[in-house]
Amino acid sequence: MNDDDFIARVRAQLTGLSSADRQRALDDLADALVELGGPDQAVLGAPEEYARAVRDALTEPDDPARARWTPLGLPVEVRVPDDARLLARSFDPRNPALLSPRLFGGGWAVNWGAVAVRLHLLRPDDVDEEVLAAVPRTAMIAARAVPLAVSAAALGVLAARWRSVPDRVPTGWSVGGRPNAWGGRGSLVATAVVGVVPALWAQLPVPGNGERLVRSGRAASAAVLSAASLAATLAAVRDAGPGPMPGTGAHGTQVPRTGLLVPASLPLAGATMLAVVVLPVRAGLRAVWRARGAAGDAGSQRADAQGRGPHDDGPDGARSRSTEPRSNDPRQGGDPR
Amino acid sequence: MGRDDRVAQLRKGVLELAILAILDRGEAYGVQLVELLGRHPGLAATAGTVYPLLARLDKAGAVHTRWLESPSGPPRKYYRLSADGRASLRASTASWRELSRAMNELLEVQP
Repeated sequence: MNDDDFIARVRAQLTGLSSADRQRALDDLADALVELGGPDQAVLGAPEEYARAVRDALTEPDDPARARWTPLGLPVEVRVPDDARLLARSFDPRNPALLSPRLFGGGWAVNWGAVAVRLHLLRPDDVDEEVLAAVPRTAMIAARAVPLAVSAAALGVLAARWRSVPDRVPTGWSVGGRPNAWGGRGSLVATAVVGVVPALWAQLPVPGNGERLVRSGRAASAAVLSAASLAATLAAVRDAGPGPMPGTGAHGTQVPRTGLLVPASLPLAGATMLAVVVLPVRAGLRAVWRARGAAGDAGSQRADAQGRGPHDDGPDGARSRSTEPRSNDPRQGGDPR
Repeated sequence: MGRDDRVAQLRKGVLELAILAILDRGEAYGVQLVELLGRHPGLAATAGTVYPLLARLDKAGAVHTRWLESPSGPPRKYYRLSADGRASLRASTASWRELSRAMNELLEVQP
């Protein structure tokens, strides 16, 4: 292999780098090859190994909790969402940050795992693969049924009221909750679809109960928001009689503020997301506690809440460090496992 | 990568060894580990750093976990070293000593 072959093979492995970084790395390599008098693989390693070392040195490890770009400090994500990022951003109790970069687009979204920890629903390290695997099947089915049920109910109400819906319906709301934009009644169908599509997305078979629960939770909150938006529109056209024409709502104080239903439903959507994820996780936790013998009152003499535990029984050298076998917890005779 | 990120990367590698060393002295739960690390100012770390490291150690089989009744609230997850973790601690300790001796020599201010 000559210099050019070596460089070409390294170049082929550096596709992930920016063109400036790649060019600089390849220029440096060309200089090194001149200095070494040829591609000595005993010194440089194989082209693939050399390329890996360059990539490691020039790229940051991909942290699924971080956005790819942060212009002016605002996170912007343009990669297609995957399940690792879905979990790391929507529900990661280990990460204490309440806001995480949005899964797609600019700005932030709520890390519901941190919310659950703040509300003392979970401890940060409660959720692991064992716990997720222990979530009862019925809880998994129920979690996935929630978005379906909410969006199906909304669709049902829409279908039942369809004949009485006027041709023009509100499609936008003022800050005060009064209609300020109008459109055809087909927009109601579009609003319903906003709830139905995520509900169907949550039914797709994905590996891992964690991913399934987070998908269900996100779909459930989308279904709640869609249902609230539908309810606001249906209530407006019912209360306002047979279709006020565009513009009449702007000055009429008698127009009801039904649009306020949409912001009012935001906390409900959040609570739904939390419930759909946390209730099954807690069921899984209880199953693990039962299996591991911690749910009873064993060890009731355990120390108080000020961070005392087995570790305080002499971690600072009081115990002889050469004693074998070592007991990790002198108070508890044996390992329950 | 900024300077702060580099320092964070450097500490992350060391924190893992620090956690292994603390767990070698006895089992502990998450918040307690954060507190025990905090007793050494150079090693103070947030829960947001420690919990992911614990998850990684658990996944790698370096720690065993068990749930123990807590006087305040639901059962807590306790971590302790596995045989693998102890072996990894021994190996890492040896390389740490070697590394820190070399680095001290290298960084020492020449008179």
